[in-house]
Amino acid sequence: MNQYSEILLDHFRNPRNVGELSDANGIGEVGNEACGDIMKLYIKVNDDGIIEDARFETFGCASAIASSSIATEMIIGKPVEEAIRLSNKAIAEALGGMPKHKLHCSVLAVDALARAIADYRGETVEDAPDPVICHCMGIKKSAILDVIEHGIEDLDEIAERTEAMTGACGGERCRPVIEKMVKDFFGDEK
Amino acid sequence: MKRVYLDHNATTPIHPEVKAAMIAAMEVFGNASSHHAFGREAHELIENARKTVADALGAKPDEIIFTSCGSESNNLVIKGVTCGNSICKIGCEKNEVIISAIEHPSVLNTAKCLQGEGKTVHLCPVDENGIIRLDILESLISHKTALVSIMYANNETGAIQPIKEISELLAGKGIIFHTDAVQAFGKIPINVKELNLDFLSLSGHKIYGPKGVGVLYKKKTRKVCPLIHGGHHEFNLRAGTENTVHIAGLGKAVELSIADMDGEWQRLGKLRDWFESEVLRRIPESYVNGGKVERTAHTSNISFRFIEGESILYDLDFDGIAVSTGSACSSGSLEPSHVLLAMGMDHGRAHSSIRFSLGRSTTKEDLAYTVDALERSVTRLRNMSPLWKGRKK
Repeated sequence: MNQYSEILLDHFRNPRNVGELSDANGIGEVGNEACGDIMKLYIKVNDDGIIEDARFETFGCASAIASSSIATEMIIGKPVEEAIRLSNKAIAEALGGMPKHKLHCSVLAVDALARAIADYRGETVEDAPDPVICHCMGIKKSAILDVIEHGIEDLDEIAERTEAMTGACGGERCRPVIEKMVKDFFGDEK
Repeated sequence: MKRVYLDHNATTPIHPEVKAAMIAAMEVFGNASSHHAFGREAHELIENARKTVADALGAKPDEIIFTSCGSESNNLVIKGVTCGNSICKIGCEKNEVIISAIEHPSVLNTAKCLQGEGKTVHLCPVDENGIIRLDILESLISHKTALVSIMYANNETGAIQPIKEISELLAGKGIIFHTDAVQAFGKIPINVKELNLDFLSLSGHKIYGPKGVGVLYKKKTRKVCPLIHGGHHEFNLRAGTENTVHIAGLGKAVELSIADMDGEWQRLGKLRDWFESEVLRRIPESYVNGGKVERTAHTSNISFRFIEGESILYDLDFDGIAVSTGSACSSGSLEPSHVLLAMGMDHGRAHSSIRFSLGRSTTKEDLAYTVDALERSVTRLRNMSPLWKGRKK
C-alpha cells in the first residue's frame, strides 16, 4: 500500500496554484534546505480582507508539495480571520490523511500561511500569540502549557498527553524547549 | 505500463533456477539432524550449499555458518566476538571496536548496542569519495581494539573499500577483522584466505536468492558466542533447525552469481556509465556522488540539486520506475543519508540524492526510458522549487 492517499498523490502530481504571485501583499517563507523543506506562500488580500488569490513554491517531498497545494485551495476566497485558523490537522484530513512522520509538512504549510498573513498585516510571526513548539506534530505552546499547568513535569508523560516529541525527529528539536518550559514553570518550587 | 526496476541494492528478484531449486527442496522435509534417510536427504542439500558457498569464498565448508539474513550475520559477529561471558569461552577483555562511518545500520546500530554495554566504538571517517581513511584507521587501532568491521562495498554509492590494505594493517596485531560483504559478494571476486579475513557476512536476497537467509564466514580458528543458543546446529553457533529450502536456494544463487560475475560486471558497468553520462548531459546541476573511485559496477548515486529526493522517487514511481533515496523524507528521520554526510556533502545535496542500482534484467532501453522520465520530473519539480528560482536570479 502506498503510504500516501490518492488525494495527496493527486496534489503532488497536479499541484494547484504553483508559482509566484506578482501582486501578492503577503509572503511567508519557512524551512531551510538543510532540513529538506522550504515553503514559500504568496497571498493577495483584497480591501474586504478576503484572500483573493494564493500561490506557492515548495522544495520538499511529495507530502510537502501536496500540503502547500491544498493549503492554497483551502484559503482562497476566505477572509484572513478565517484563514488564520486553518490547522495542520485540517490540511492532513483534507489530504485524506498523512503518515505520522509526514505531519510536519502540514505544519510547515500552516507556518507559511501564518507568516504570509503576518507579513500582510505588517507584523512578524514572533508576535504570534501561540507558536508551534513541536514542528513534527504541529503541537502549539498552549497545548503543552495546559498539560504542564496540570502538574505534569515528566517529559514522557507530556509526550503521551500532547503528542509533542513523538514525531519524525523524536523530539530532537522541541525537547529542549519543552524542558525549559517545565523548568520555567516548576523551577522555583523545587 | 512499462516497469523498470533499478533498486537491486535493496533486493533482487529470485532467479528462476533458484526458484526451481527451492521448489525441489520443499519436497525434502526431513530434519537435517535426523540420522534416517529423510534427515540425510536434508543434510545433503544443506551441505552441498555449504560447499558451494565455501568454494565461492575460497573457504572450507566448516567455516560457513548459515543465518537468517545479513543483519543476523553482522549481529552474530559483532556481539559474538566482543562477548565477555566466560561460559561461552569468548571472554573478550578488549573494550574497543572500530567501524566505518558509512556502515549499514545492522553494523552501526549493533555497535551502538555495544556502546550501551560500556564498550567504546570508534567511527572511522571516510574521504569525499566515500573511501575509508586508512591513516585515521591506523591511528584508532590500539591494544584495546577487539574488532574492526569495515564494509566491502557501500550500499548507497557502491564505493569499494580497501579491504586488503586494512587486512594487512591489522595483520599480527591480534585484532579480529570482519567485513560486511552483502553488497560486494557476487559482484567482486572475494577470497577470504587471500584477504586474510576473520569474518565475512553475505545475504541471499542481494544475489537473486531468497530473503531470510544469510551467511557468516568464520575463520576456523576464531571463536564467536552464538546469538541463538540451543542445539548443535551450525557448529553450535546458530541453533535452530536449518531452513533447508532457503539454504538450497542460497546455494544455487551463489553458484549462478559467481558464474555470471565477470560478464555482468562488464555489461552493467558500461550501462551505468552510459546512464550517468546521459543524465549529466541532459540534466543541469546533477552530480554523481562518489563516482571518482572504484565502485560496484551497477550502482549509481546522483544528486539533483534544488529538489528533495523523495519527490523524484514518487514521480518515477508513477512512470513505473523503482529507485531509492537516502533522503530523510522517505525514512522519517530529519537527517539525510549518513553515508553522503560522512563524505562531507552538504545537507542540500544529500537531500537531493537518488540511488539507481542496476541488475540482471536491466537493459539500455530501460535506462533511456529512465533518463527521459528523470528529465521530466526534475524539470517539473525545479519549476516549483524556490531554490531553483533563487539560483537562476
